[in-house]
Amino acid sequence: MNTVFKALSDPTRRSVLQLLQAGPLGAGEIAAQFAVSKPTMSAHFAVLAEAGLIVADKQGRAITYHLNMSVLEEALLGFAGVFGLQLQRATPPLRSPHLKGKS
Amino acid sequence: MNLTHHDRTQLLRALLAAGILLLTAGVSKIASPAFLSADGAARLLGIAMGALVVMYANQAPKILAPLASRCSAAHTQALRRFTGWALVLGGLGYMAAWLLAPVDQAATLALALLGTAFALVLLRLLHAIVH
Repeated sequence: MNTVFKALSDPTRRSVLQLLQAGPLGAGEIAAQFAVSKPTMSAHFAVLAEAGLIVADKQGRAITYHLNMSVLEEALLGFAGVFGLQLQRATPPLRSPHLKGKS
Repeated sequence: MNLTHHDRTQLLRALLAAGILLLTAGVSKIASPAFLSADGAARLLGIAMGALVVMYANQAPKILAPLASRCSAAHTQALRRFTGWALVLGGLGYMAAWLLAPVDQAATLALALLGTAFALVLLRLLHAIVH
């Protein structure tokens, strides 16, 4: 459970999980949404995968990530977002789905 | 015998479920009728059953088998999430009914709530298969 809390404590990782709630996405598609380097993004994916919150589906060189959260973990994600379970600054998303259509 | 982490988790969860049921049945047997009425024992067992439903439904999004090639990955994921949430809420409703409703209506109400959750899951599954 510690790994889950660690994974959910970072706003960038929470944003990744929120993106994946709509459906599986490629690593590149997810990374394109955030203003962080690829190694940093890979580290975030590794933390989420270690916590068992996402699973990677490798086909050739392409990696697709699927959400793999229990109901409790999804509820924790919601609580973390609302009550600000936050240990570090958020990485500003470049094209957040929540900001679509806003300037 | 080499058990994977997943196997160990499954085994522990099954043992916990069995333990909860045995403990509830034991407590009901030992405590009634001196410390626990028949109604109280029925409520206790109902709450324990609801807790088991919640415990297993919580894991449903992770452990449900994929629907082969019937659905896209996004639809399968949405179905898994819906199943988990519906059954967890149904289980919580089942527990709440046994905890709060008048005892003569608790069973009916609890089954209605959980049955509604199952029906919603079945409808969503049928919808996913047809479309």
